Amino acid sequence: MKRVISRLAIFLAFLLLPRLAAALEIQNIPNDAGIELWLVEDHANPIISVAFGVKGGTAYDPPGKEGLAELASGLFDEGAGELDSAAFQKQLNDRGIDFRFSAGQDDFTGDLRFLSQDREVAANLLSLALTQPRFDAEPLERIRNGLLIEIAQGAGDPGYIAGRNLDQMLLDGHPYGRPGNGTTESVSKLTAADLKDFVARRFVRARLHVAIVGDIDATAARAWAQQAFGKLPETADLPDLPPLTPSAKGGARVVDFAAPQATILFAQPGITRSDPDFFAAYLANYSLGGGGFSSRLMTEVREKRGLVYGIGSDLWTMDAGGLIAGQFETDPDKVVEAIRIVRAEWARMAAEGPSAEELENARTYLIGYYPRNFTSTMKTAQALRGLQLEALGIDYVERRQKEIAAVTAADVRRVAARLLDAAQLSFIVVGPAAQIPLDGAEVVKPAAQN
Amino acid sequence: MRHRFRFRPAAQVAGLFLSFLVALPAAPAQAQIFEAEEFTLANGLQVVVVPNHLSPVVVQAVAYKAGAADGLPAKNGIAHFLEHLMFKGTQKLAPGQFSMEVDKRGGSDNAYTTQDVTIYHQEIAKEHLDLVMGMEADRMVNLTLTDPIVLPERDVILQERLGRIDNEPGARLNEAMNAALYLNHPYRLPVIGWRHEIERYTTADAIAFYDRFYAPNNAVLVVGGDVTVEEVRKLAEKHFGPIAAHAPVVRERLQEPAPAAARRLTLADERVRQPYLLRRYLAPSLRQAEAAASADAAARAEPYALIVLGEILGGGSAGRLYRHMVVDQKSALSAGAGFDGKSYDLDTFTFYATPRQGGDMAAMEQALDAEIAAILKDGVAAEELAEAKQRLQIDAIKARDSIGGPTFLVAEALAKGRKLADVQAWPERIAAVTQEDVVEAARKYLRAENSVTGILLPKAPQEASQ
Repeated sequence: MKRVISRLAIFLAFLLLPRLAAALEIQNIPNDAGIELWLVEDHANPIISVAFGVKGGTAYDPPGKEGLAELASGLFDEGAGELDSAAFQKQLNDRGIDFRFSAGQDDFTGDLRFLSQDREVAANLLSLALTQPRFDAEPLERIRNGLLIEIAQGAGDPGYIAGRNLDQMLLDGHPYGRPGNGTTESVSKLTAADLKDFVARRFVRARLHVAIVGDIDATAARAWAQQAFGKLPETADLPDLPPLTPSAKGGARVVDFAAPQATILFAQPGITRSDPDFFAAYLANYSLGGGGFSSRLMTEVREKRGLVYGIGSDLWTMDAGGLIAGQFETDPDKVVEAIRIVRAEWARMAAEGPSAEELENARTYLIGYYPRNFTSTMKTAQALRGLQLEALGIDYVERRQKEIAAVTAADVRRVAARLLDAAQLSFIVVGPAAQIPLDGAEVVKPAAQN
Repeated sequence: MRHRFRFRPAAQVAGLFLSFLVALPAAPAQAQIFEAEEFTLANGLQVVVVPNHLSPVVVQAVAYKAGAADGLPAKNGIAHFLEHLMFKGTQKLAPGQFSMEVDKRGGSDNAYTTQDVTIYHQEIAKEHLDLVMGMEADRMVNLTLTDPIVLPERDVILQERLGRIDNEPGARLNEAMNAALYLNHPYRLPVIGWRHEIERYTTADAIAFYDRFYAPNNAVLVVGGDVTVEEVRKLAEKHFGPIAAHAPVVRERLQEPAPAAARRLTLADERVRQPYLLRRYLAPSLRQAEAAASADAAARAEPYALIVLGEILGGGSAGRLYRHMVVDQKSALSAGAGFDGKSYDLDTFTFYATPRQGGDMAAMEQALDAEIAAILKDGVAAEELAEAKQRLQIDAIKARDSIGGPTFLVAEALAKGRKLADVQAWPERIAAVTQEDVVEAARKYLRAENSVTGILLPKAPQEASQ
């Protein structure tokens, strides 16, 4: 009966597909600025969402200038052209224009949402911010102060401490292994000149991807993009990231930290989004730890033994390499048992792969989930920008479901065996070391300076 | 208290202030804008449909008119305990099967408990609405609870409490502030419960709460997304229609006396890196004002005046506190205020401020007090009132661009006994707020004896000798 339900669900997901694609109607808009521009028209509400991005996130910060992208992300609404910080923000606030930037590891992205009647103002403000940012002393020091406090807070946050130790154990020497927020020392030294250099090098039309969704037609969208991005330089040098080869040595480290509960991070080398085995790996991980309550880790560690509130694992796919990583929290005296179970489940999935039922559940999840990426204009714009930045192509929305349906059980077993290796798994435990008798683990103090 | 857990790569650190800000002046709603339609089944189940056709997806929310504040004082947190147990199976579904059926179709399901309501919700492709509504109706009446299923869940809740409260100095301060601010009302107790009471929960406690509150005439069903009223009516009749109504439940809670003195709490912990100050003043909720409105028309305007005041003071970078304290005086790293008004009983008007690195907390608090005093003395200018109301109206339009947002907003409001027409009237009631309304409400409620102040401080590690 379960098989029948699963096959029915796949069938329904296929029925869904043409409707979703039709509802989306992604238009590729050629434009004089030469940027990749996609549009989905939706006139239900007088709202327009714009999501754009460039290669050039925190991993591209020059050595010694860690935190540059993160600091910049807080300063684009703090004054540009003739408008100082207060004047610029009044323009945004009076019209309720959402105007946010964020620095990922690979990509630097921006999200704008505004009423369609305000589209001219929004395009002009964005153009000013990207071509004539002021980086005045008052906002620069204010935003820098906030970032320095966030860095200091990280030193007291078990999750952040675990993440920094994971960087050291698995990513040492690669740009991904540096702290994206920077350090107190690097952030303190960043200048307005560094920020202007950041804008000039990273915001170029050749690397720019833009998705517009909402109450606007193709002609107006083309004009909007020209107005917002037409004055950006065509291109500039940006060195490629070196390929990532995460450490496969495995092992365990306990970071001694006074807290009633221990935070545990675990990881091993993974794959990139462009790997032809990506969907097979996704399906294997879904059964192992990606699938919420239905995953083996959740079943074994939470449901059967009550050791944790939650546990999961995920594929961390970056441009230059990947990890398979997971996290949980538990009482210090339960850490050893929980880790033993994670290792055992890891080895079992590598040896056997998922059962036929687990695989079908993972597959129908992955197919059925997709329309949920498009439930608002901003979510839709962000999803399309993601496809652009991953170079997946404008036909991906239609292609994707067929590719997932085509993955065989043998593919998933092969990829689980290729990828998952309990011996490569590293564990970082942040908690009171005296109460955590983990065999063979090195015990360290938290670093004084992140 | 979110029940379920789905792993996300922890890309961002320290969301405390982010989540706090999001929790303040939540996006307002106008049901007319949402084009919501309502009907009631013969057994008393209220149903609302909020159409949105961007993607072939629906969100279903079933809200029960029962929260932590409706439980037993001696075993506080039973509402949240039962919320966990609602995923443990019925006569038809095995434990955990509800979530698995949703998961394997690409949907998500979860639940949360507040002081006033318990809400169960799913987001899923529209063709599965029949299935999830059937399962939701099933567990309204057919829940199967036995000791082997129920008792291990206490450990899960103890872990949840450890992670979310005991391990988080800010959450512990918040618990202490509630206990100090509310002298008598059950809002003084934590939604998740105290550790020593969680350890004593029994299967009978959970069943008693379930039997008392879980019934069609004590619940609201809201479906948002790519559906029509006709489709929802057909499915609701099919799944919920056969369930019999219970005897009506009347909410009777202990009420607050007139407060006598301002309260002040300090919590120092070596894990705190960012100190902050929170101050909360008791103020009437929208529901209370609407209940009083027939007798007192002025009372109805008060919460709206406080929402507008919250926007004037704390409306992001446009707010007075940010412009004065953060940008001009540099007495704070961040500062804000807001009023939500969505509680069933007495709500709180909240101020917060965080000092700059090495900043002076006392000077920061003086600057905050000066801002409050300026409002009480001089009121607000016509222009800033108009700008704040304009920003709130734009927020209301933007709130339409979502399936879940309007669905939860309507579900919570109706489960707190508010009428859809009152939710609908939000923009016009905001528009009607005058300068006099704002200053009068501020003078009435921003009084010291009506408040609690909480201060979170770092503590040097050597002081915490263990």
